[in-house]
Amino acid sequence: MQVRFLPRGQGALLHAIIYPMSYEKTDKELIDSYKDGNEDTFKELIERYSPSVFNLTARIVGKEYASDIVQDIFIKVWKNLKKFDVEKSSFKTWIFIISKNTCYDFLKKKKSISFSNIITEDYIDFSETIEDENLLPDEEIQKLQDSVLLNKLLDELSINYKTVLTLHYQEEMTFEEIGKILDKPLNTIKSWHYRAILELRRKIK
Amino acid sequence: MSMNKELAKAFKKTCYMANEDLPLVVWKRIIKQKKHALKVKLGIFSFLGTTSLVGFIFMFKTLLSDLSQSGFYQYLSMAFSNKDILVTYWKEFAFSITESLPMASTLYSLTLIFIFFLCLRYAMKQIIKGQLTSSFLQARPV
Repeated sequence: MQVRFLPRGQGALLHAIIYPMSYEKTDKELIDSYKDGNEDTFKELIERYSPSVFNLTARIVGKEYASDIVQDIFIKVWKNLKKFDVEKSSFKTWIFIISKNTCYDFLKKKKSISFSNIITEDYIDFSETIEDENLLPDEEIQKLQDSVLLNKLLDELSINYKTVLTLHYQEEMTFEEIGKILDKPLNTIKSWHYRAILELRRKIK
Repeated sequence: MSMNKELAKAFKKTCYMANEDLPLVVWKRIIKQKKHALKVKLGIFSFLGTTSLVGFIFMFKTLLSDLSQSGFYQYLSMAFSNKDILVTYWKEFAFSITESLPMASTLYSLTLIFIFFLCLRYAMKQIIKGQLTSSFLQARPV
């Protein structure tokens, strides 16, 4: 998003009318400003990303642990932000990579990641066309509009599946971006998405 | 409507919501970590600074006794008492006064005083940063 600073004086009102809602700084601008010594901007990054990070964390490790882990995630981000190259990758992808790693570390410490939860190399050959759009019939989609049911079903899915679904549908990330976060090839992510939807369908029935 | 849009709609409704004060809690923890790091650095620099200052005092005493033993003071007083000789034989004088300098103790003393000032500088930096960090949290809550 382009950032336009509000001019002082009489032009301000006119400027606000011409460019409404355009004063929010981009991640790059906030990070550059932080690197220039304006540490206050880190608070804006926390405010911007804490809901998404909390949601993903709660989905992976459970809501009761999420707050503590979110704090750890932001401390890692704060410690490494000066080394982060905003030109090379997106901040959103980077913060989710840190979130995923922190969650996995927590689960490993808790020894609650089972073998079935980490699915590695199985994927379907996506050179063949798979009609994603027809995976769930309308009736089942309607059932999923019940958030209590969807929450329950998501909690029953494996970590990889629910991470893919959360990032794709809640954070509106592409499969390529999710691949970067989970450090997996595009086809694996597509496969996980496909299988996750099938799993949801099976569980609804 | 397509499956993707419908699913996105359903998923958006199931987002886990964090407590409203979570950003503030995160920020406070960062400030706490920052303060802790500053305290550790301040401790290290204070220790190094004090050690180098004490070392410098001892080394300076050694330097003074070395200077008196090497005849440095005699050469120095000659420079103030007889300026004509100094002008005529300045090359010889410079060579003699340099030769009479106790190199090792001079070098150690300068190194120690350099370390002391460096530590003082970094310690002051940590104190200023610490004050800024404290005022930061008080003045501007999230």
